[in-house]
Amino acid sequence: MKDERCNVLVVGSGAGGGTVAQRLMPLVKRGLRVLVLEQGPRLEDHEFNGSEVDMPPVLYEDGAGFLTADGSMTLAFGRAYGGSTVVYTGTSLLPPRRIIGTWEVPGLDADDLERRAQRYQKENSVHLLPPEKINENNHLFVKGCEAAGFRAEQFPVNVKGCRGSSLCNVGCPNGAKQGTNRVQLPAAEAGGVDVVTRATVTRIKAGVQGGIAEVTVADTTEGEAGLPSEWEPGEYRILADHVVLAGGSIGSSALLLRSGFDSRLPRIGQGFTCHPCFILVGEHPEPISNDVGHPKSFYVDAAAREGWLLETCMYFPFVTAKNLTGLGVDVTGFVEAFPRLQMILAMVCDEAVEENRIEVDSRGRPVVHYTFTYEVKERLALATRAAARIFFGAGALRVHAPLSVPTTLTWAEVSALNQRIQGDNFLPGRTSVSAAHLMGGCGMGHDAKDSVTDSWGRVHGFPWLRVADSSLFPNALEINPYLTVMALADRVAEGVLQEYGIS
Amino acid sequence: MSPKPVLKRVRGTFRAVVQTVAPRATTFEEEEWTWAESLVEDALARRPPSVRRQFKRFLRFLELTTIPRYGWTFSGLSNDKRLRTLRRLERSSIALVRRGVWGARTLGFLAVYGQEDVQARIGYRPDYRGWDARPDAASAATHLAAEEGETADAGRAHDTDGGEDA
Ligand SMILES: Cc1cc2nc3c(=O)[nH]c(=O)nc-3n(C[C@H](O)[C@H](O)[C@H](O)COP(=O)(O)OP(=O)(O)OC[C@H]3O[C@@H](n4cnc5c(N)ncnc54)[C@H](O)[C@@H]3O)c2cc1C
Ligand code: SF4
Repeated sequence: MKDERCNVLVVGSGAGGGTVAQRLMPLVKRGLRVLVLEQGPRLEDHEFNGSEVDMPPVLYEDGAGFLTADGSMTLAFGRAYGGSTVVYTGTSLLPPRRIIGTWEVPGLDADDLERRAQRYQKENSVHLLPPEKINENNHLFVKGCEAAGFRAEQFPVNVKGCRGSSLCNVGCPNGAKQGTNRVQLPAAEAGGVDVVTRATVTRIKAGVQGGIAEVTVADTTEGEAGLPSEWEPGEYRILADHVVLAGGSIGSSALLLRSGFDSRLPRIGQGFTCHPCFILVGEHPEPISNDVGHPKSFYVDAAAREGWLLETCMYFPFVTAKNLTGLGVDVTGFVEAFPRLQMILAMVCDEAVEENRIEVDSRGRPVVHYTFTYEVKERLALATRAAARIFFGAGALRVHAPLSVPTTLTWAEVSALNQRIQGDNFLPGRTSVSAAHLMGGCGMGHDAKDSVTDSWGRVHGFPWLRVADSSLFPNALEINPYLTVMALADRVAEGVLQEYGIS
Repeated sequence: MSPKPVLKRVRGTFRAVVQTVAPRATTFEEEEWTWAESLVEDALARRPPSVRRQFKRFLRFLELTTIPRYGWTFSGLSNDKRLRTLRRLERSSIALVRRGVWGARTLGFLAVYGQEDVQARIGYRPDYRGWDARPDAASAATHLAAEEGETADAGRAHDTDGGEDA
């Protein structure tokens, strides 16, 4: 066991961890040590090869195959230098005031969060793509919305020099997507922050002054992608004045649980939400441009009214097949028509409920319990009906609708969508559902009875410990979350700076 | 050390599942099967031993489960009867069985649509150069944008030129 010391230890390098790392640079200028530990690898630019088979095992937890405890939903989250921002699509929406208010976290102010998020919008080159850079898959969504009576809004995205390779979710091969791996972490490292990859924090505990982290640094195996760790492989013990957890909703919750903090903080792991999604496809008579161009340019926001959102999307052949529901031609009939496919992601708002929570197994690995509530199933049905209307309005001949029996709907059935697509047809384990907006587990609130941290991410009762990631959300955000994560992390970092007299 | 191969003793059932969930596999040559199986073995090698054991157990269960109804094992049935069997099982009242079917069909899809050759054959053409590699697609998209007059609501105030994309 080797010993290391630092002033601030940041666990995780995603949207939250990357933000904190950069914000703490003034400490380095003062001669203090800021250390970021990331369990995933650091890839060189040329290693992003755009393959849906090669990249997920390198960039995602469980190769993008992490399932909830009963196997009924796939949860996608990154594990790399940059965390999930390496694989996100980069749609960049400000924290929604409507939701921040309903969280009722004392001291958390929507104006303050918005100001902070705006700073990262700018830093991450967030803007709207011009029409000529938008592909037919996206244009048809707008056309379908017009025909079906929905209001399509354009997503601001955080790209710089985007070539339109449509490979965002397997890591941008052009370095165009402005995740923390491209913006905040390189800046932090240039400013003297140490980032160590392949370093997993296995446990944390209170020290005499500050916290102690137990860490395992992994070796690389032959042929494995990514650079070796910056440190020698082995076991480490790190003494830190302050520890900031930014391991993501599941990572931070699991670390606190396996470290035994739940005996004093019973809410750890509670309040998990994830915006469950269907990937839906519609088949057009002619080929459309879909596998070229940025995948996600438009959305319909019916979250406030009916609890759902629709977003344009484009996935790869295997991911598409996996995420449709059913077997044989019900699925392959669509996948084999790939150049004619239009795709829509139907995403629903889920509320924090007691059953949905993060636990750890006897070996300390995360286990996520998730039950689909009646509301979630109904919202999935509402969202699918809306998407089907948009597909048909755009000219699709057939649509895949997981909550319809059979799952294929033809144009002639457009008037029967409400009868055909029913929440009752949802069958856990059969109906394919996935989620990539993992939230909660270390929620903010008043005290240890209702939450894990206060509005500055300070863990109740542990002055040396903070959380700065998506686990802070007390409930679902009802919109794509990364800018809100960065805004919250920015606040947490400010709190750390204040401890050292920097405002 | 890489774990022991999973498919060795259940290869027949596995291939039958793949052909059923993705009928394109009925025309696979041995080389394509080799790819298919290596994709699945690689994926399984990254999963915990319990998952590998469950998958193998499910394939064994599937092979025998058709005997009472059809008098024949799963892999000996026609594609039609196999599909009927899997469709029945994916709606089973036993969650574990539904989960088994979902896992098997997912690996079946990986075996077929994870192959780059198959991806190319179905017309999926990823290229890191994006639009530069597909001038035909670029002009079609521009045409559609002009046709619909770009009526979508830009929603929030953002600078269109800010990202140096033009
Ligand atoms: C495919 C995909 C697409 C998405 N698209 C969008 C989008 O378009 N717009 C949007 O707003 N959001 C999007 N998101 C969601 C967004 O990426 C996340 O909300 C955000 O990145 C969460 O930030 P985080 O810091 O909480 O966690 P992450 O970014 O996931 O980072 C956590 C990091 O901590 C590391 N870690 C965990 N535990 C440990 C440990 N014990 N020791 C060391 N390291 C550890 C992990 O390896 C990981 O790298 C997407 C997500 C995915 C997966
Ligand atoms: S579409 Fe743009 S941001 Fe996405 S992977 Fe391609 S070049 Fe990168």
